[in-house]
Amino acid sequence: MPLKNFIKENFVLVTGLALPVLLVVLFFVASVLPKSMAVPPQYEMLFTEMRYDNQSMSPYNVDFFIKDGVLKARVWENPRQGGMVNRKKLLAYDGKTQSVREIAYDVSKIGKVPDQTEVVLDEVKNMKVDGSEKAPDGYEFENGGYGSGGLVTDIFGGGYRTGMPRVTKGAAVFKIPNNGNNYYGTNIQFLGWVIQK
Amino acid sequence: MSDKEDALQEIVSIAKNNGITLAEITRALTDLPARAAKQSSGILSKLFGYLGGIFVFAGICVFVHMYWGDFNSATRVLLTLGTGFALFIMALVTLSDERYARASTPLFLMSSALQPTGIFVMLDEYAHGGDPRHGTLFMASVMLIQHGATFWSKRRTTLAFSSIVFGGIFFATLFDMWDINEKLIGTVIGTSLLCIAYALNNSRHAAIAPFWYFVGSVSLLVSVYEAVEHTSFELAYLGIAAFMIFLSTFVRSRTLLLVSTLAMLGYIGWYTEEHFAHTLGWPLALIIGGLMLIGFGGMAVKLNNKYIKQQG
Repeated sequence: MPLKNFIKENFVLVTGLALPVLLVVLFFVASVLPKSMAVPPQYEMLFTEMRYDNQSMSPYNVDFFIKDGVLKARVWENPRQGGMVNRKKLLAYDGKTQSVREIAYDVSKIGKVPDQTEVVLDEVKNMKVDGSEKAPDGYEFENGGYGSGGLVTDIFGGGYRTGMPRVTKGAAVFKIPNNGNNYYGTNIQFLGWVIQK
Repeated sequence: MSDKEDALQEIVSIAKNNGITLAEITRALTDLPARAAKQSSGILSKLFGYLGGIFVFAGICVFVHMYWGDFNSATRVLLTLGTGFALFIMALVTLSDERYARASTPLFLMSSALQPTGIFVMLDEYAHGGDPRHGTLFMASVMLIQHGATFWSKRRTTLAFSSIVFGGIFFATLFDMWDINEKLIGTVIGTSLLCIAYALNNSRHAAIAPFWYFVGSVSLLVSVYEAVEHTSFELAYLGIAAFMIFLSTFVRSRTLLLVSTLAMLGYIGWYTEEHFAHTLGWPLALIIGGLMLIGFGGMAVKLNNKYIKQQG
């Protein structure tokens, strides 16, 4: 029984080596298993991301919101047309495929309207959206935090972590993939759940 | 325990960990002049070895830096990862010949710096997108396997050190990717490092134990403090610091004693500032409590000497 003897003679060392492995196992049991056993989110989640545009040709600035189950846009004139502005990118997270798609929109089509006008854009006019925090299937949006990864992460070459935003239900956690986007803190805004496309 | 007894215990521990017999110690003590001459030549050879290593490493770095912009991707990888791997092979070769064995440490250290750099360069040149932490995880896995396996076979202290470093990078990155609570990461890795340091201290690799005692104890104490701060378990931190002081006497580590003493003093200072900022009774209570503890300590030693030790 050489292994048994080794463990007996080097019990403290084996404990030291086993502790991080044990944490990996515990994390697997507490996180990966519930996710693999859970039914993924059934409704697409709408959200916006602030994107810096250094040559915006859009005639309007846009802010999205949900009113009476409809995704609406509040628009006001873009005084820096052709210049640098922060533009809202409309995105939809599909929990079934665990992917994010961009919903491109064109505000130039709405014509001349006064500032703060509420409009329904053609690209989303058929959409029915539930603006509640909790989706009909029980999933909720949770924004990722921005903070230190802790002393150990700092010592071993880590740094500040940007916790990814996620959709959660109990122990089941689905992270929203970051496909070259810049999701952090207040840069991302939750809108609602797509009931009908 | 007197200083002489302490020293004797340390001699016994070193002899035990390095397999030195009583006859060898006696021979070394009776042959002091010859041993002193051998030691001075050993120091000289070590010194030149390290200086040579630094010069070679500096030369490679300066050369690579000067022409970096002119190199294509493959050349960049070859110069960093390739050189690092070649140095690693050279270090292994030197271990097989006693005459060159001293060169192994600088060679292992240079390869430990160049190979991870090379892996990052390779990923930067050929891989695109994704989470950069996946790259760190890949590097740490490769290096941990390489250094861990070589340590298992060759039992060199340098390799034990580098294996722990790469293991630490691997687990810290993995836990960070999984967004595991940073206080839990600190507590687990800190405890793990303390256990590993204890094992190192009782082996022929005792030279690196104080460093890992330091990293482990700081990680553990800081993480526990952050976890219990402003909670009802806050005073438990004082108990953990006291336990660490006890542990330091048990494992005979000055580093652990220093860190845990500083932790306890820091906590008492913080606690005073928070709850008894301008109360004269508190410092007086601390002084009286401290004197009582010293008194109890002395009494315990007397009791031990009078009743327990004699009976044993």
